[in-house]
Amino acid sequence: MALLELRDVEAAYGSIQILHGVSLHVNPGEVVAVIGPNGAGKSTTFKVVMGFITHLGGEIVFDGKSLVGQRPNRVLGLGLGYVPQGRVVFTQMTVRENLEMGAYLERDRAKLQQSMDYVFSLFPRLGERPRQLAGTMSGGEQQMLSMGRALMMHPRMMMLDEPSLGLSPRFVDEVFDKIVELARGGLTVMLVEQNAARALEISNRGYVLELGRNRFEGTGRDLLANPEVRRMYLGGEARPGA
Amino acid sequence: MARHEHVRNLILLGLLALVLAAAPNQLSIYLRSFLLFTMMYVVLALSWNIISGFTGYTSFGHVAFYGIGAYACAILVADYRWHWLASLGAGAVVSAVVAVAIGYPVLRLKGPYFAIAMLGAAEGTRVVATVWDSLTHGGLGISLPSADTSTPTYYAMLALMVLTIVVCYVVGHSRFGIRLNAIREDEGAAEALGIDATRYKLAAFVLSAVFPAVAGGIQAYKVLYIDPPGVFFVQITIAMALMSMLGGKGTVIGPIVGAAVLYTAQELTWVNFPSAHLIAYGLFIIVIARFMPRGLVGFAIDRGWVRKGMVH
Amino acid sequence: MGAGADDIALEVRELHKAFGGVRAVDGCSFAVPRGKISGLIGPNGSGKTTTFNLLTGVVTPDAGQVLYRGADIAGLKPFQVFRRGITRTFQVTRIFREMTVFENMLSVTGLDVPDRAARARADELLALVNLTHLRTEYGGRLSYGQQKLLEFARALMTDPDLILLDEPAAGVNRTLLQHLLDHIHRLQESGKTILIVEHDMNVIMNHCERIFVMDYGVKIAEGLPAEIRRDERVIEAYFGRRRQR
Repeated sequence: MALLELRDVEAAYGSIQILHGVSLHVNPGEVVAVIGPNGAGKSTTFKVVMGFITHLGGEIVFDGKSLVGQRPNRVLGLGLGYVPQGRVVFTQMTVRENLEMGAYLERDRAKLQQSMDYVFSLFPRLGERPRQLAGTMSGGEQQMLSMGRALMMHPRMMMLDEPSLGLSPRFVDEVFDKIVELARGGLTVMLVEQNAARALEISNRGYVLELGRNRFEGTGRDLLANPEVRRMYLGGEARPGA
Repeated sequence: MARHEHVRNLILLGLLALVLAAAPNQLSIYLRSFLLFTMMYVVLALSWNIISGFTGYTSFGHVAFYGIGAYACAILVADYRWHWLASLGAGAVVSAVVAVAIGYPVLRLKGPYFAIAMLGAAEGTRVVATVWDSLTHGGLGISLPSADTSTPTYYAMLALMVLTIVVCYVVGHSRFGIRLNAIREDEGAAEALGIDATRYKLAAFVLSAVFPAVAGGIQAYKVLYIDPPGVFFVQITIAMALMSMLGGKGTVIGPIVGAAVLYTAQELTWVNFPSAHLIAYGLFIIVIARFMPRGLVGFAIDRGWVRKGMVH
Repeated sequence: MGAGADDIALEVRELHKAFGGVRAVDGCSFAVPRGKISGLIGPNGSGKTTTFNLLTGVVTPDAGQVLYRGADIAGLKPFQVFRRGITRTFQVTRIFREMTVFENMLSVTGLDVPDRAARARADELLALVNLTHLRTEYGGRLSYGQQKLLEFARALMTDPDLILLDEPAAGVNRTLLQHLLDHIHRLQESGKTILIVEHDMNVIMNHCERIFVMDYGVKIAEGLPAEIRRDERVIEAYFGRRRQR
């Protein structure tokens, strides 16, 4: 049974509808990529799952429970982790404090420390400098911190929104390596990515969205090899009357 | 706006001026003084409106210019035996120069920072007046030679008010005014349309500084004694802002109406509730702010009684 | 003066701009042909937005030139760029909300014409975009689409020769987009030069005669839509590149 399933989901930012019926599913233990050109609605898909934006229709089911109408803090509590676009770390806080913010819902200090140790074991570089101000870290390190923060709640599945955005090639490698490592450790991963090639490389399966609708789907390898997918990125099919 | 509308407005202004000119002989000294203060507040509110209402740079320190004008008059008349009317002109010039000097650095600041900087500028001017006692007589204040100034100052203030109204009207209905509004609305977009915001802001700021200076000079000549706390009265800055906003900032008639209504309210509450007039006055302001957030004129525009926009 | 200067409306030469340690524009050069609709595209982080801001004076370059009518306009402030005859629109409309539609039109400077002529032109342009009935309405009360049209009309008040459009398709429904594109084509037919920065590939591919593609702060390709669509470097820029082992 799928861990996360979306069926014909429609969503909007205020009055502007972005998703016009998107369907996808993620099985436990998989890495699934959601790719597509600009304006496809990739990030919007994550946002409607998390409950940040207006849900207009369709079903969203996680671990057997419906997420429709749930507030973001409840969604997090159900076992979904979310790493937003752009390395959103609290720049004026230390690494430790950022991680603590990730486990805001955890009251038990002992459990909190355990989670922190767990994250530090996954991200040794963060463990080396727990008191460093997040704002002074490099882009790659901030991305790691952002991921570590999402892991503080021991999610069953993590959604990463454009993890490679704005990172230099070296950090992109590191981040994707880390995602593969986490996936091997049993974490289910869904990622939205502009860098489609890299995302598909590490994914079991992928979905290609265009203008808020499903366009292609398949295994990572198949989508990588499909020239139609590449061509779609550059659009330009003649529109009637153009 | 069609030509006939401008003519109509000019005639209305002329009638108002005539009525006010004929008034002093018929009225008690108290009422004459009341009218003079009302006219002064009209001048101050309209001036504040140029930089804060039209251009969107909310100033909390315009009393500085009022004070400069008051001191210019007092110093020149008392110590240098100038004719008081000439001293008004001098006050306007000094005020303009100071406005340019302050304006360059301070107009770079946005919103609350500009407001606070202007507050600082006003305080600074007051301190200068207190400390530079070789010029300003410091804390002792300046006494002007005794004269019957009641009538001439009334007419001077009337003339100043008419002038200020005309200037604000012209600005408000011109492309210059539109550009000031554009700066207020979105300075970046205004720049993209060719508006040199730095120059326009400075022009508006200087324009907003000269009329309060003349008003200050007239007041000094009326009262025949000034000292720093009496002149750099923070209530004046607050009143300017309040009257302009409650009347409807960003319009021409707004500050006029606001000044008249608010000053009248102030006097009425003082007369009728002598022990609690501030509370009554405060309540009045709260009621207007609550039900007419865009001011009296804004309220009228929303209701459709007054047309939207200034240039048609 | 370079050869064929008449064919080139705007020439960008070795523009450089860094923010902190990040080299947003790293030696970008291209020449916008006169009288045509050109497109400037590139994936997120390619530097196209910064380049656009360098052209419009919002940002000052660290090095390089922007040649327009024989003069280097790099580093000029936005209002100076405007006065040279280059107009721009904004991705998210920046019309003046508490001013009427008509006042929005008249806020433009550089019209060395008497008031009456300026008003006539404003009305003419408003009629062109079908906003005449909203002439006395506050800009803020217009629908987003109407605001987009207003901003577009406002940009045409001075009859500029070079028009820079910042993501005109952003947030716009298909019908309105078609209207805008019709207007843009008519402008081009009347001899104007237009440069569009866009994410919407369909707009770019179907309406631009020349396309410049940026990535990593430089131009990586230029040419006709058909050429760009087949260009491996462009595909890679957008689709991504597999890991280099």
